[in-house]
Amino acid sequence: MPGPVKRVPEGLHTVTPHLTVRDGLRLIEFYKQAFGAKELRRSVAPDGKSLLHADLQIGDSRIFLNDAFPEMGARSPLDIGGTPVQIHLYVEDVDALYQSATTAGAKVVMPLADQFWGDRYGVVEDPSGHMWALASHIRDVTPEQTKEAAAKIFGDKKEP
Amino acid sequence: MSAKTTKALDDFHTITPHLTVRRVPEAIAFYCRAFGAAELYRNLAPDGKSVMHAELMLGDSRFFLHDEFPERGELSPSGGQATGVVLHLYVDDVDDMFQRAVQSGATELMPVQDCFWGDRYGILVDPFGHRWSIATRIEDLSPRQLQKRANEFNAQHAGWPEDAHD
Repeated sequence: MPGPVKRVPEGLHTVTPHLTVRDGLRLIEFYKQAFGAKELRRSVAPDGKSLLHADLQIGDSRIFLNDAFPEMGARSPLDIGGTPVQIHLYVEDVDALYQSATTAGAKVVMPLADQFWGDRYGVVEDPSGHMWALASHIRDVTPEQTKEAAAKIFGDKKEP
Repeated sequence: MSAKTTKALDDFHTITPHLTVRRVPEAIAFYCRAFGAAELYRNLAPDGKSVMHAELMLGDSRFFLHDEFPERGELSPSGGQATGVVLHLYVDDVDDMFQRAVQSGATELMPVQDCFWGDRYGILVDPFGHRWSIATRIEDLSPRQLQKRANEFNAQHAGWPEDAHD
């Protein structure tokens, strides 16, 4: 007898980003090389090219992918010209991740550097236009310290 | 590993979505009401108005918010930036959360319904333009059952013959 259905499936967190992409089948390979993603499942349309759905595992988290179907309102950042959601990855060795991402062809948006909020952090763009922030926490800073550091950096840009 | 670097390991999953929104304080209030999120942290920009960074906890997951910074090309959906990311939530009671979200001001894009892949599932857009799918698993399907269901669905809705996937 199967047990009761687990209402939140095993291995899934409360929040999982679901990305609309271009050329999903190639992008899966990119995510494997760039971020060490593992493919758990894929569903491809009968044309053998369009990705209907894929589940990938990155670290302890999942992402879902599907190809853009603009006629159904599913558009990728490339179709749209930007994205209002960044995917942030916290890892133990951000230098290694940044290296593998850029080697795989990710475009550097913000070069990896030690940041005032205590993270070593950079931002890259994938071939589908999605933005990935890559980070390791390297130094604990208090909220007050973060505020002071931000004021020093951005203080001269106060709005009138 | 020293205690100083435990943040990423203990408090965070590998993936955390980071949303650009307009009117972050209102968005935080909405996410708390609609999804039962809790605010963990809020950091104002030196102008004393814009939110540079906020952290919320939703179920077992965190997500980040910050205001629009148009000069850096960071626009929110309400600022005209369409979105190619849906934030998917797995919860114990999709009907309850969906209803709460709509009552709190979200707009239904796809009503909650039993879907072929074994989830009860619906999609909404929040008042700030971000899209959320909310689901509860109702049936456990084997990969083979799932493929069969998908083929049936595609035959019905996309006109693809059921055996076209084989």
